Amino acid sequence: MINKPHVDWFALSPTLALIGASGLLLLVSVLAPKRTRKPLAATIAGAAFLTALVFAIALTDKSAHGAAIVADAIFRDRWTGLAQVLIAGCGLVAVLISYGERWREEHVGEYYALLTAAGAGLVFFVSASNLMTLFLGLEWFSIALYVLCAIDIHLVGSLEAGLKYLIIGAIGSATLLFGSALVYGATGSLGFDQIAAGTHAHSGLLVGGLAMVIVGLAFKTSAAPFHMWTPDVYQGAPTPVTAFMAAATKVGALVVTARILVTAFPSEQHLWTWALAGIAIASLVVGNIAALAQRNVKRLLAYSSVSHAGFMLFAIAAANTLGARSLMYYLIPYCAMSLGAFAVVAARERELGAPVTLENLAGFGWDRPFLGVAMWVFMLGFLGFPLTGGFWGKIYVFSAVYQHGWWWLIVVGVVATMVSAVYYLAIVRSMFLRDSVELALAPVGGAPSREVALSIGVAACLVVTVGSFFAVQPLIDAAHAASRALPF
Amino acid sequence: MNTAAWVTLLAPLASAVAITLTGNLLSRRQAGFLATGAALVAFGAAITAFVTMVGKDAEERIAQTTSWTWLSAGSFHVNLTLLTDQLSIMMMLIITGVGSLIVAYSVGYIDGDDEERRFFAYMSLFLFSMLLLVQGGDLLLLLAGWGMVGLSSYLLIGYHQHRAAAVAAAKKAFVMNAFGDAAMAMSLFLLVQHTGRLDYAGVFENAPGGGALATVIALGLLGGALAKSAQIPLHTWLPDAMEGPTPVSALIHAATMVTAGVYLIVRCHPLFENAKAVENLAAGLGAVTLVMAGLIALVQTDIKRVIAYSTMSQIGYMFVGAAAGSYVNGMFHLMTHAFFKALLFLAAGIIIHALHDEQDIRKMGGLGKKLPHTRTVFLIGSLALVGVPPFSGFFSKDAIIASTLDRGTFGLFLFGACLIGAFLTGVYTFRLYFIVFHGEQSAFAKEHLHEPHGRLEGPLSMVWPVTILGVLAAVGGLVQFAPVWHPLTRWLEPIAPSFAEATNTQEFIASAGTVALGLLGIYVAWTMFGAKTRPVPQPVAAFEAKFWWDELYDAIFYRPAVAASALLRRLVEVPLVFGSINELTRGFRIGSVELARVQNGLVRSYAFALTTGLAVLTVIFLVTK
Repeated sequence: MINKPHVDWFALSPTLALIGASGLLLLVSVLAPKRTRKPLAATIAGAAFLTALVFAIALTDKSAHGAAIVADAIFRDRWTGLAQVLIAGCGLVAVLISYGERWREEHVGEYYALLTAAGAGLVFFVSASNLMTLFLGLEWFSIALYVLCAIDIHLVGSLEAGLKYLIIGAIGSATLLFGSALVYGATGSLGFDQIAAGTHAHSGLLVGGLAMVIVGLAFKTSAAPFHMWTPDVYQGAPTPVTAFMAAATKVGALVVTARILVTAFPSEQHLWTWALAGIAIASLVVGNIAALAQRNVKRLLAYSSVSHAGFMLFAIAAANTLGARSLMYYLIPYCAMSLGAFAVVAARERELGAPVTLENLAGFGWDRPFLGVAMWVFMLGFLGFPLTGGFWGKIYVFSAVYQHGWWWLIVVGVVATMVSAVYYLAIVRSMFLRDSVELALAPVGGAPSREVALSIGVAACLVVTVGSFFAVQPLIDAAHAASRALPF
Repeated sequence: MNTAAWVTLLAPLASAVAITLTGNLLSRRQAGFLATGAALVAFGAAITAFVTMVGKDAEERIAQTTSWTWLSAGSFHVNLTLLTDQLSIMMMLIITGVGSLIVAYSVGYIDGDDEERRFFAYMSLFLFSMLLLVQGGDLLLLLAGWGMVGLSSYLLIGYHQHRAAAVAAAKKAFVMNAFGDAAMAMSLFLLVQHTGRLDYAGVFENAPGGGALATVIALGLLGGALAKSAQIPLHTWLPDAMEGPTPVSALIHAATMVTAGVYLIVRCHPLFENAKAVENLAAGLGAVTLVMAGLIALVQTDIKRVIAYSTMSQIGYMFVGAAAGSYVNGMFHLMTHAFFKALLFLAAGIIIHALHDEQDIRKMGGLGKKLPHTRTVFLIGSLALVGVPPFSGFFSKDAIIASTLDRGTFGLFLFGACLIGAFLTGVYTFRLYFIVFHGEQSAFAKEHLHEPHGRLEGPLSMVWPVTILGVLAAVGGLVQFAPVWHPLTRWLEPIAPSFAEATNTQEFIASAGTVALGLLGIYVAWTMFGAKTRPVPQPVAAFEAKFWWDELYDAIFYRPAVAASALLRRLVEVPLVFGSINELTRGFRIGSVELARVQNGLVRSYAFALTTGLAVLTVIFLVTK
């Protein structure tokens, strides 16, 4: 007779809602008639993310006292809960963006099944409390994403993206797994708490394992120099998938990085703070400089996401509660801005039937004023302008770093922000300051009708981006409550 | 929750946003009506708030409502708080009351302009900013309103964006005001640093009670007040601002914005009382301004500029009143001045309108016969301005002058300046009146005077606000008559208790002196410009040149700044900044290209980067553990 652990079903509810929907969607893709398949599948996926969102909010509310549950496999606390809220929200917007995508192949059911599966994996991933569940969650959402990237199999770019992501991702996963094995070898335990509790004066095994764990997670964060897959994959993958990856994957990877480093490796803090600071600086340098030369907007945004990974790694490197708080806060407007920006790109892409570049973005702001203004706001948000949450995000990250005593890191961040103005404003410039007439672009197959779903998604992102500036206090309070779950 | 206060604040904002967003969906006329309606709604709400407040006991009249906390770190909170008390409600009533009359007047005045909608959006924005300034419950909102008032006045002065003079005037106003904003912001920073609070009560309680810091804080606030209220030495923007449309002059440069400095002194009186020297400086500057502006007004030939200088002079009186410790009288004069000065501007607007936008009084003359109604209201306004009983200016101005007698030797200096000012007011006001309305019609007027609109002298929407203001200017001063009844004093006492109170004897001396000198001024103007029995003396060069303030600023700020910029450009900008930026961009571009070369799309090089990174990290960890 095996002792069954007590299962806290409520804590698992966001994951279960999504994975259940995924199964249902697979059935839909087989059973539902072709005509109704797309609206039905999208509705189910949207409902699943909405349900997960509601559960995650309730879970956050009811988990004031953090605890490891289900045989110490996962955490139920507000750090997990808030991250799950963010991921579910990202998924919901991703469904809205996906709805208008014109797939060449009729596999829309599978698409949504994979999207919800990836969401379920991420939601599970952020709750991991030992190395086993950590790796399980990582593979769970990664495999779903590999397929999602390559789902447009008629497009060479999409296939290439999927393949590259798969191969490099395998190396990343292997690194993480090997690192976990070394850590287990050094400490004899898998749980984050037990690893921290073990007595093992900085053994080489443990330190080597830590390096590998950091690299494996930095790979998912797309921090330099482990970012090299990012531009290719973000550019090649279908835009809604890119949007979801850029937002939700980053939430998962960063939240887990903060959790594992703070919870499992507090006594190695002197090592990982410096490592993360180094990786963050590399990300800022590489992301910003490389973005300057890009003409393809998706690729540009990919590099921008690398540089933002740098900013958010600052928050973790600061290794204090303020840092954890600022990471959680930063993620809120960041997710909205990323999703929103890629949504606008998706709209333009569908209009042109061609990849969006700075050149063919010309005049877009005048043709589609709502999307144009929204994109403008997102770019200013990425830059950290006031009236967007990006402003407070940067302020909080900088103050966390300052509290750690690393004022020079702020200098790096400010210089990086200044450089980033060049390419963010380049997007605004091509949308508004160039005339579309001189390009004489003929939309392929006529201009598509206005997409209500996508517009709703963009509007939601806009509300969060601007709203997080004005409602900074409640959000920072929520982030503060979440950061209490971490043992600083 | 004080709903009425919120409605007052937000109605103009809603109108500004609605006019901006609807664009061509709204006809020009509708935009005007929307702005007027919003101002009237705000006025109605202000009256509601006022009536509610009257029903309460004096102690319960101060109401703070916080809608949401934006940021709170420790004991430092940034809230959106409205403060509704006796002082702010008085300002709200003046702003929305006079403001709605002026916006209504604009519907007729600006009719036919190409960009009416923009005008009304700006007007609404201005009203919102001004209300934010007086309703804000803490120093931060005060500063926000302060800055936004500067912005919207910039937009309104430069409304005729194709006229170079208007644009230059707008810039001048903005720069001068920005200087004041900066000074004020500095003292707010000092206050926050010292007290850790932003709300008025908390700041006043914990502010430094004396010494250098208190002086610096008060000086910064005074800088803001001087710039906004166009007092010497930050006054040169106001006459130029007459380039804006006439309703703008009436709204901004007579009734509301320029009085913000007085409001600031009264609102922050504990901070000024902590720095006596600054308070005396403010009163002294007010006295100097009122005389100097009166002298300049004697020789101006532009109808609006005469009124503008008279505004400066009258605000000088308010400064004297408020800074000499007689807060109630300062606020009282602010109120009556809003009535009669808005009236004078709007009446001048009718004349300008009738004469095809001609503002030069040398071309006017004998307009009284064709514009009898305008003549009547202008006369009422003029008499109120000079302070002839029983018109409104008499009560408020004399109260200020009387209260200076309570301030010892320094008060005597102020008293003397005020009396000289009273005489000058009589002269320049009636010089204007006699030249414009009296005698035979000038050749220009015969040729250009508009055909009357039916039986009226202008569009209906212009005539009725002027009439209402005429009534207010005539009887508005009866609210308070210091020796007999003083409801205003009782009303404002809990907020700003005056420390200079005139006795009845002093009141009498001041009244007799002022009225006598005012009447003497009118008589002098009559002999020169009305009856023309006495020759007009040659204008004094100093008055004509406006005491060379513009030239002074040109010499000590503008030219050195230009010279320094040219030098910096030659020595620093071109070789160092441009050079380094060019080199930097080149460096970034090369870096970019190099990075792109590494990013070659080959999986093996990606894997290589990953493993190299891992190896480096592992080695460092193992070495430094």
